[in-house]
Amino acid sequence: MPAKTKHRMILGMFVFLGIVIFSVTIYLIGTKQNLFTPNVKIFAVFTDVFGLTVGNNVRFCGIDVGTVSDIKILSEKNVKVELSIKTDAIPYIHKNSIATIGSEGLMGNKTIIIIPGTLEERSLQGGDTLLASQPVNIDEVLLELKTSTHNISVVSNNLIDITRRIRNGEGIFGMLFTDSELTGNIDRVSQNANMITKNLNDISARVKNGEGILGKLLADTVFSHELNKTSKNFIEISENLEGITDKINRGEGVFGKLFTDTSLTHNIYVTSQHLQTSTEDLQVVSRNLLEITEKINSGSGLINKLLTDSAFAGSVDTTFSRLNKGIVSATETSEAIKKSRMLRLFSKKNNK
Amino acid sequence: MEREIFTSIIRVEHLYKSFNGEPVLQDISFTLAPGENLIILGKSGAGKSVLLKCITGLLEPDSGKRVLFNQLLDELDEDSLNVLKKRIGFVFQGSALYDSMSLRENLMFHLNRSSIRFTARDKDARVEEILDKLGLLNAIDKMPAELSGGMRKRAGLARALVLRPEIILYDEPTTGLDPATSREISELILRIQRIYQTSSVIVTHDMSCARATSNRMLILEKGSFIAEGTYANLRDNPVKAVQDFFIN
Amino acid sequence: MADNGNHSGPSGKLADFFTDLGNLTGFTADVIRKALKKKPEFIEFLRQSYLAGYRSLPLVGITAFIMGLVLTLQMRPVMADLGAEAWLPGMVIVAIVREIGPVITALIFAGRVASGFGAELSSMRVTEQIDAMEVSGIDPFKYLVVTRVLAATLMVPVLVIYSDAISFLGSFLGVNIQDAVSFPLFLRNAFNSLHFYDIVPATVKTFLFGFAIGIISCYKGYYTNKGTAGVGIAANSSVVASSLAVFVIDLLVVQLTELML
Repeated sequence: MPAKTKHRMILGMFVFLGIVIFSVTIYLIGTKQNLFTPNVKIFAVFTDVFGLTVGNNVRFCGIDVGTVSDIKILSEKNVKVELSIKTDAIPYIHKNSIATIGSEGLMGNKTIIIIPGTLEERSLQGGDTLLASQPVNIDEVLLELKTSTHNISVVSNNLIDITRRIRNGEGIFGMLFTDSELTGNIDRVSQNANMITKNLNDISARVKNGEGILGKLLADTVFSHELNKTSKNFIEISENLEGITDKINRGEGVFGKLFTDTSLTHNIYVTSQHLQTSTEDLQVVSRNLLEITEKINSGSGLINKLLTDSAFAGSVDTTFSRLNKGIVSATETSEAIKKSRMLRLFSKKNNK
Repeated sequence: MEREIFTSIIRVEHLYKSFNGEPVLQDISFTLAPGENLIILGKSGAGKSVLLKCITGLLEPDSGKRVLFNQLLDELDEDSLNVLKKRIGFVFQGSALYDSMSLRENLMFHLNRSSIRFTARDKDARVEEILDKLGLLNAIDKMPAELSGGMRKRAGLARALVLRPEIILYDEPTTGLDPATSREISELILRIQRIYQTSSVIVTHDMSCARATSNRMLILEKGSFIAEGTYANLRDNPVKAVQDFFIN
Repeated sequence: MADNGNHSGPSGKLADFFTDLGNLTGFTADVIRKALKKKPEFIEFLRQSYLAGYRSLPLVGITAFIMGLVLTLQMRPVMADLGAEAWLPGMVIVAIVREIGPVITALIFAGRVASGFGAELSSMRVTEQIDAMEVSGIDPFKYLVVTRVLAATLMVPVLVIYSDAISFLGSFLGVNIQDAVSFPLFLRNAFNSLHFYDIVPATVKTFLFGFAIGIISCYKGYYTNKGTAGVGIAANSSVVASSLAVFVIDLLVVQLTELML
């Protein structure tokens, strides 16, 4: 019977090995779907999930850290997505991290991208809900950008007009600047504008250098939000500036009254210097922005840079948020100018 | 009822069997007494094999009664039927050895499935004893394909004997054998009957075999018995179908 | 049934078909009943598993390897056109696991084993070996049919596992003929495309394939009735009918899976 025993043994090995292969396969698929590794459930609520399905990957810093384990509709505008995240990755994901929806490659599956938060917030715990950021429609962003550019050019034209008049020594001074507070304000405006335009210059130069802003726009919704806000602010500030310069322009007939204070004259001189720099910078910016938007619109050149540039994108990010702050204060300043006593006086006289 | 065991070990009454409306067996009745050798003579196509298969339950007759060991076959459930079948040995025309098994395994196969539990040593002893009696001991580990015609017949007989049946049914035991081997087999049948005290039904068309093994003969022609008697009786029977067996 | 084959008209053939199907259904019911009821013929089952399963491995293995390799090479140009060569392993493995592995293995099994079952049982029938068992009170059905059907049912899934694994290696070679892809990367790509809902129906399917092949070939062999010529017919029709059954089952399982998932 040794032959029979041998056959029995071979059969046993045959079946055993088969079962082992099968088990390993199951395990490999299982680990991929995090069935056998400890994980933590967290949530994120979106208004639109763009075809995300259960089983899609969750990425954090470009690493797969989990999968989408459930998707539920909460209401007409809210979809709750349950994420199962590997326990090992949890300490690095802070409470103010932002979840957004992206794609794996050009035709790939949808994926949840977690944008790292900051250290001051605590790490995630099971059951937490992440901040969710809705991917922004890129067309809208570009449209805003274009309007801003247009407004900037109008502003700079006006500024050019003003400075020309100032340079020509036309009598606007005497009428306007008895009020040193106002001068200070205008000074601050122009300084802010200066800063803004410098920053914008910086950005647009980098963009012109071809460093994947498109990629940034597509992948990073925080950035696009920032950009969005910036563009909106820009529209506002340029509208304000437009208002001011218009009014200054209209104030032509009232000089010859107030030309005694030399310190004031000096101040005005400095202001006008600032204004000039600002104007020139703004012109450059607007040209750059126009060029960029044209390139984006025609879809040339930058497409290849898609999805690669996180380092640069980070720097653009910070620049933009700084820019945004600058713009906010500039807006405040221009508001103040609008409300200032002198201008009210100005318009009163005008109305006479 | 006790007495009937002694009068008949097989009793068949008014058996009918047909295939697709073609009658094969018509009104067959006979009995087999304990210790008796009964010969059923018939040409090929007469219905001999069908009759044997009906007796053992391999085929269901259309009508008629079959009583084996005083038990009515139709009343038995599958399990009791299987128990009863183990008391009958069947020697097939072509031996019907399991050709995936050696000779020893052929015998063991039946022993292992007996209702009696044997020890391994008992089984070996029994297999060797039977093969020894039939002169097959040195072929014990051969495969059926390696055996000669006569050896195969004996091997088939050995397998039928291994469970010590009370009845042995032979289906054409000498067909396809040369006269010398044929004679040898006939003698073997008689010897077996003496040693193991069995009753037998031997179905054949070979008169020499029939004459060598028994005196009581039934002649089957076109599905029914046409004559019964001893060799001497039948030789004087004027019916042509009977006389055909005496030519050659 | 001696009247089988006496009819030549189409209605006769159709009637034969339905008779056959009815008998087959009864046969299947018997197999299940006897498999559940009685003490199994374990040793014979193991022997049949060895013969049908292990002995089929070389043939299944070679075919699977070639399938994996060829499939990869054939799909490659299309994927290259799309610029998606990286998806090749995933695509091939899904095709293999869901469809090609089970079906090809089952067809090979049908060719090798079903013909064997059909021929073996029919020759046992013709040489009265089945009668010899029956007449000795041994249930040939349990010994010959149940063991074989069970062996086929359990061995096809095991063979499919091997077949899938070997195809996988073939595919790896296919990818590496033109690209250099490390095995871990290949593994990762492949398994990223594979889900549980690929594995489960595919596995269930293999059991059904094995069962159908076993049942049909044993039925054809067990009830052969044309003497020695019947052996050839039984072997032949076992292969034809069980191959056809494999495709029909495949179709049904795919449809059912679609409905359920």
